Amino acid sequence: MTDHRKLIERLEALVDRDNQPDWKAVVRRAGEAPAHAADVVRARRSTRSYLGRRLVPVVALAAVAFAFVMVAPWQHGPGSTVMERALAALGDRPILHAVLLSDTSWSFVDLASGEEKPMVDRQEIWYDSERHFERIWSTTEGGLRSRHNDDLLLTPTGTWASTWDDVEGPRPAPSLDPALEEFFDGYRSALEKGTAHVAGTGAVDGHDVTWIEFATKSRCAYDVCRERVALDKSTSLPIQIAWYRKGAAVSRGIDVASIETLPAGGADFSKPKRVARDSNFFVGRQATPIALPGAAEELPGAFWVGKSISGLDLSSVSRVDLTTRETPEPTSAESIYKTIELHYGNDSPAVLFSKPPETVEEPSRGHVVIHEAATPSIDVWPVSSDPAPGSMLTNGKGEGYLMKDGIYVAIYASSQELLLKAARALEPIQTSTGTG
Amino acid sequence: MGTSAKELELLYRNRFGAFRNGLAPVCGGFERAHDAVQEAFARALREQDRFRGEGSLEGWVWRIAFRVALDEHRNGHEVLLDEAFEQAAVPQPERDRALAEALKRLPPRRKLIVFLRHFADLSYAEIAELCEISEGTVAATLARAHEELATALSREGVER
Repeated sequence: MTDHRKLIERLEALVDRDNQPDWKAVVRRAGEAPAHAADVVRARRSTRSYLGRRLVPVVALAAVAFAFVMVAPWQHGPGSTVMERALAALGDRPILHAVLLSDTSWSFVDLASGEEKPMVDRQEIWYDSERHFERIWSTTEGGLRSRHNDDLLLTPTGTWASTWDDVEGPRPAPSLDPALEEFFDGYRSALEKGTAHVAGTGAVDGHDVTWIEFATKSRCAYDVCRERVALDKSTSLPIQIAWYRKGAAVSRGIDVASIETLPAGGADFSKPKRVARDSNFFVGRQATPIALPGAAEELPGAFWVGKSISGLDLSSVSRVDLTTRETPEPTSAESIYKTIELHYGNDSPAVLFSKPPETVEEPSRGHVVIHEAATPSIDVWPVSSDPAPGSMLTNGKGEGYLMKDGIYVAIYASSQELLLKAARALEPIQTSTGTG
Repeated sequence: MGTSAKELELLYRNRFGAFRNGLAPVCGGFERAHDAVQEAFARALREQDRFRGEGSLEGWVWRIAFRVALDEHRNGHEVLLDEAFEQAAVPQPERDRALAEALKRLPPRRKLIVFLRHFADLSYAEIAELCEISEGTVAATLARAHEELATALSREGVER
């Protein structure tokens, strides 16, 4: 059983309370000559540039808005500048609405071709600058369908979420990044402060774009990177933000799928509907060792990868019954999910539900654990996006999820290479098959 | 603008534990984190005139502190904080192995936000300032991280 309060208590129990501050030692140390004064500045840049570049799409959103306001419209003559067109395209109404896409560390691999497609985090944001209401709809794209659909509403009087129970009481009004707020204050004042320039033209995802490059005094004083916003030439709207360091792109950046302003009342700021979570409260499991043919009887259509893979022998087969409860309350309805689990190798990875094979004196150099079920409603399946048939969702570190002929298959391998090999080698267990 | 030694001392005395806990996942332990905090405040003292008041004093010291902590990872080349957080882990995993493992598997971005909230004891607003993001994004990221952790922990009861 894991609820929000319990989780927070456990997180807080991980920190160290045995603190012994010693200010005098700090003062003594400060009196010593700084050994690497230059490094201090350089590393501070590193931290800020990371934070500004990678962390959150809203940073990018702010960058876009800031780019709009920082480029002088008179650069190319009145009434015809890139920025004037961009500002006109965006509009100046009080509600900002944007859809931002950013890469995750997961991707979908086509098992036949090896082609990879990134799983993408999608955030749709509405921000009412007058009432300080902010709504964020988060989901995941790239796969067959998203299992992650969060609706979050922040207001000065509380925070409400669709899938999590951290409803809060009165709180400070939510706010966008300072640069974005500057946009809402009007670009005229921002024009007086900043510098930016049209950095050139190019193409992004098949669109002809104009690149705007800029740095701001408040944001980039320590940064080694420069931020570039790609404006689609045909619509004058931003479609991508990228970051550069020493002239080279440091990441693909963030895609702006759409951005606009809406009139007052043009967005829904009602409380998100609570969405029932899947039976998510784990009660227990019962693992029973079985013979290989029994796996196909327990889960018709179940797979294996043969008697061995890359020198790792099939070391155990188990039927695992997982019991979950709709809520933490003991009286709530229970569900039992029948699953099977196969272990190859004997180095006891202990990552899933059945008891791993005993570690022997000379453990194998690696492992593959395959967990299979007829439904994803067990706590193995990730809360992200389902892979399409023929592809596998993977973190690139030996963990993968795929759906094959109605079976949900999770594979944990000691290497990515082994994971891919196992995923491609899956074949139905024949009831006449022996373990050899 | 600058700040004063008195303000820094007050911040240090009030928030030493938060800084130590917040840096420990990156430094690889509480003892190393302790040293990093000492060094960070020493540098803040030396450079107090450079504080420009554009954000909070604590946010400024946190940036210095992360820089100090990241020195461990640099080996002569530039290291980004998310790269450092890819390796960040609970300093004493034996306290709660299941949770430590679940935290380790979070994507760096979510891991960073969780550590800043629950180890560094930073508010949404402080995390937003430090990371230069909105509070809403902090909340959304944290909610998703909590969801992932809860899902991972619901596997508890597994024989190990």
